[in-house]
Amino acid sequence: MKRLFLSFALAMGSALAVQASDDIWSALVLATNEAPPAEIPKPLKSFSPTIKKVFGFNSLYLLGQKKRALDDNDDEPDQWLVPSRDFFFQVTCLSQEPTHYHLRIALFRGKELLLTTEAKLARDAPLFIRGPQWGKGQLILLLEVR
Amino acid sequence: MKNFESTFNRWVDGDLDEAERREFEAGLDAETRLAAKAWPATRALLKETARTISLPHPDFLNEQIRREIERKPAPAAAWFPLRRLLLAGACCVAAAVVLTAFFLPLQNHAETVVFMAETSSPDTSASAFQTPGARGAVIWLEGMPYIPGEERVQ
Repeated sequence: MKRLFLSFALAMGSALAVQASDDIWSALVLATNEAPPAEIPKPLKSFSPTIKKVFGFNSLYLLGQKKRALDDNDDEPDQWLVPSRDFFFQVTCLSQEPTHYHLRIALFRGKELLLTTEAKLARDAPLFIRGPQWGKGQLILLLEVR
Repeated sequence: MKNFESTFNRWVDGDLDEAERREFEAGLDAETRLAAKAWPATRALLKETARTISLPHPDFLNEQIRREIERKPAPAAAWFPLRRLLLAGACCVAAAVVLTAFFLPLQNHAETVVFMAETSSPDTSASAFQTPGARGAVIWLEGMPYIPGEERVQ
């Protein structure tokens, strides 16, 4: 019985360990309308239907991406996510729940602070940020917990 | 020595005739003679004790003892015999399935929600909404300065 309990505790520990090893992925995307539509880059394939529905663009270009571990570290609460040289994020993990992270996110363009937001990010549920227009396209920033 | 023992035993058992007994006792030292004098009483006591503890139905009791021995549980199993390992493995798999079944729906139904979105420039504004039919969210920035196509963004 003691061994069964130990086994259960190990399984439980493994499950919790999975929870604690999430990453946050960010990307800078250029969305345009082209005929025929350009091939969607592999990392953006799952986002393409939503971007088309919400923003109305059929072609996507991945300008930059970055992934790093997301943890609730009291000693170093601020993490920098730099998907591109021009646009980057400062992410502060305020709390961590089994199903989501409560984050404070600041979006910068160079040294200029563009946006401050607080959001609850669930795993595999992306946050789209509509950025400025660039040429004939639209810059879209993506954040996703994985 | 063997002759002495034999004679001694016969003496203890009272099998010596009178002449032999006198000769044997004459050869004993004082201490042994004293002990020997007490021997008939000791032997009587031992006989009485043996009679007292003799069991009335020895066959029946022996049978009972034998059954008890046979009923005795098997010696403790080794620390990790194969069957217990398999059982522990099956329990681990079951626990993993239960945990997955518990956590996966929670994760699949969890949504990204924006609580607050503020822009630093008075010329720009931010609004947030859920993505239709998906679990994501959108922050819509309005009034951001246009970036000419010639300008490099990376």
